[in-house]
Amino acid sequence: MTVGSRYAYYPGCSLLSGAREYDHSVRAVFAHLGIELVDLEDWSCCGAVHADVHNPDAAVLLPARNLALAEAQGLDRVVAPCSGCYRNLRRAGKKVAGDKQVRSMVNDHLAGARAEGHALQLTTDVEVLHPLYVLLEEFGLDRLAQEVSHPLYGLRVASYYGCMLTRPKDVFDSTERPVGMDELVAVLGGEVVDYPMKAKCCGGAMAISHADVTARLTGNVLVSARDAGADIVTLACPMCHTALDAYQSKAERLMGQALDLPVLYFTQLVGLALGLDPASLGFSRHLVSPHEQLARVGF
Amino acid sequence: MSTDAAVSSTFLAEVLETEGGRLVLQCYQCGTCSGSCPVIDEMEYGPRRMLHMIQAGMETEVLTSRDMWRCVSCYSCANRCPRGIEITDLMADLRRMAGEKGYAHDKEAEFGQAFMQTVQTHGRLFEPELMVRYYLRVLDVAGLLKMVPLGLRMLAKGKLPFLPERVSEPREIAAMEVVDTTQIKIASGVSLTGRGVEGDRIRQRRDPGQLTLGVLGLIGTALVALLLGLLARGSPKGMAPAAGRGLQHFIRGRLG
Repeated sequence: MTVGSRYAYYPGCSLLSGAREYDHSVRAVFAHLGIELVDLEDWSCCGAVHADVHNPDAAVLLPARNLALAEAQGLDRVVAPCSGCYRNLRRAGKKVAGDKQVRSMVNDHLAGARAEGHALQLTTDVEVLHPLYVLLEEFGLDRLAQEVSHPLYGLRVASYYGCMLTRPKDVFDSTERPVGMDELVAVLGGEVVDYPMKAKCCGGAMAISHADVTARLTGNVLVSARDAGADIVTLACPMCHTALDAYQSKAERLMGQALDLPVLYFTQLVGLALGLDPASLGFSRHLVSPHEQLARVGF
Repeated sequence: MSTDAAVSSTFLAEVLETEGGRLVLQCYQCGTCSGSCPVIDEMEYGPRRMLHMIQAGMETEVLTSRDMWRCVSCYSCANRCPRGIEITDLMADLRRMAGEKGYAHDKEAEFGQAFMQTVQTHGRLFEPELMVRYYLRVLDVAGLLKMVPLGLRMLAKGKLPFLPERVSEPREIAAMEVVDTTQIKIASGVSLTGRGVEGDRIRQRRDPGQLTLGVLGLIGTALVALLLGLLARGSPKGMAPAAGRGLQHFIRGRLG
């Protein structure tokens, strides 16, 4: 990657509501590192896990509309920080790139959705990346190490990968024992905590309809991290964050034990290590306060 | 492999037509999927037995099961399947088939409907409207009350938005036929499906009591949606966010 790389930025719905601290910290870290994010104008929902239940074409169309927006802005790479959006956009991009019939289905729908001459079209191949992989694969950990001015010495960090960051199988990391976020934490000076549940599901998808299921799966993940000696958990998905942070009190009641594990987005940790102002990284927005743990290691 | 001899039921043929189900006849019942499933305890059969039942053409048993509605889309099963069956995508296909045939009565089915309706209205998600739509559909007062303390804490942290974000032309999303508008579902009692697997098959299930509640629910949802829409369009710039901050401050004070 060269300095001045440009990516279209697709925040997704969560990053404008529950996960604004993720949005702010991604933008702050990328700006500090000289990676340009261009806001995708007029982006729409990716369909989450619900679109294909209603109409299999919608599961391609909804994300593909956003890829067409990137094309309209002259960009061929999209960064999507929500693991669910990342997976949906990336999957749609691959389907369109690999199947002419899918591409014409998408373009027919886009052509019919706006007045003639103004319709979006997806004629190029747009690659979709998660910001974690932009840092790991495109920016590179060696370069990132040189930028670390405030190492996270003394902070025991359990990386939580969840599901859609690594599954279905892609080129970036192991689906069973992923290591990318751990390598990042090590470069930031944090102590890597390995634990059995790091790639198991938090149940975030059921958080409203079957909240007890979410509390149980989340409890299993948090207890596993706690037992391995973690001070905090870090992750890369707003759905997982809602489960591990907001549902932590439900999980504590269900598991019958106090957990008190702050849950931070990986970009918040990167921001700290880069010396960005902690006040700009949104640490007061979490339901489980990280302030005590951060103060203990000098932040 | 040849499937002609093995495809003995219409249901199996329908599943084989779906993207997730095209390889179901490859299953040799090793059970890796059920052994990998984090919600196996919540299921009636689990993925291994569901696959067997699909092979055996047991349509009613499969589509009335709660199993696909408990699937958390973690892709553990599909990732480990030695036969390459896309079991997670199959679960989504089974959800769709259950909906089309009037079997979808799980709360998660209602959540999915509420989600897509919200997205169709704004082009993006708007959580408060999603919650209103969902709780009106399921009429789950106990569940709603259990969510109130968490909802207030999230509100105090600024994690729930007061106004919807919209795409410039939400009708563009609707025009893409993202939501099957011929499918009208009212609460969980009635399901009118105009576009089934075979095109125009229509199935109806009615329950007068739930129909009344459902109609009331829909009217309530429409009023709330209208109110939110008016707020989004009509309020002078800055006023509604300021009111939101005031409310947030008030709640934070109350929670200490």
